[in-house]
Amino acid sequence: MSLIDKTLEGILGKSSEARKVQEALVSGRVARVTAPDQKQYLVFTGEAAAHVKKKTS
Amino acid sequence: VNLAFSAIVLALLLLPGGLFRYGYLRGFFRRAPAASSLTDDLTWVLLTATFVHALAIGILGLFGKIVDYQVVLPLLIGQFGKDQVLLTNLLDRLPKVQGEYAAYFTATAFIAFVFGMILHSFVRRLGLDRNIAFLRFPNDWHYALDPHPNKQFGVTPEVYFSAVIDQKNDAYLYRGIVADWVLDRFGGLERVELKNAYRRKLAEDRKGDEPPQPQIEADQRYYAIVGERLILRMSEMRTINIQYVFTVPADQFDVDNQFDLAFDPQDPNP
Repeated sequence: MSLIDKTLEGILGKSSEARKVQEALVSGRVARVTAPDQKQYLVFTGEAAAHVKKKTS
Repeated sequence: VNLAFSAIVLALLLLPGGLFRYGYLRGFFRRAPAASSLTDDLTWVLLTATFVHALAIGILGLFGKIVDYQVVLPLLIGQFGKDQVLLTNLLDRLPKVQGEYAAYFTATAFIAFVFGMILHSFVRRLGLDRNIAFLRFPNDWHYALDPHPNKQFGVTPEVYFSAVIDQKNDAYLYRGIVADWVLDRFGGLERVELKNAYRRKLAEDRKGDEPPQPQIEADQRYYAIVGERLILRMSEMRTINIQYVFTVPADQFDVDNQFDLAFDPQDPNP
């Protein structure tokens, strides 16, 4: 299982964060979720990918 | 007997082409269609076998080993001369040279297979199969269910799978993350394994003017399916929807405000 796979599984295992992921899947927008390791991640589908950019600074 | 002997020789000569094809098509795929017979793509098999033998014969020539075409060609077409003298002579000599023959056919077959795997790896590593149509592998479900690492985000997306399945008198929508899948021997999807799976009745879909109810656990239509993996059979699925889900560290990426679920336009200090 890849790191990203584990992270997403951990996020989905936490109900409040799972709701945000589901909302991102349905709406095509970007969810900010906190994984079990307390790090914050952005979760989004390919539909919203064009609106997520690498930070320049 | 003559025809059978020629057929064995021909099969041995074509073996490197078949193994090259197998190595190239199967390669390092997580899942791939079962190998098909040599006759499926005879042109490819003939061309690659000819190439491998030409290469092997060239190398052997450097060590003074010359192929006697006056023996090989009659063997292939089943012309063994009067009283089958060619076949008799060959069988008489066979015990002395059988090791060389065995080594030649084993080496060419092995090298062809390795060449096929190397070419497979090269094509996939450079993404040529995704950009050049004739290099695309005949493994459509690989492209749908095993996405390429995304260069922009530096991650491989997860695959979120939705399928409609008829059960008794109702149709159900199943949703979950793809954990694994199995293909049939023709490359069709036989079954898919989901984790974090949910389902609801399809009839309980939103009405046209009803606002979206995105919170799956607050949405009474859905319920989680207890278990590690949910296995769905393709033969029971009516329609399929696939979404690719990216998960990236929030401190490394910015989101346009209107696409950020956490963005509140009423908040003076977002």
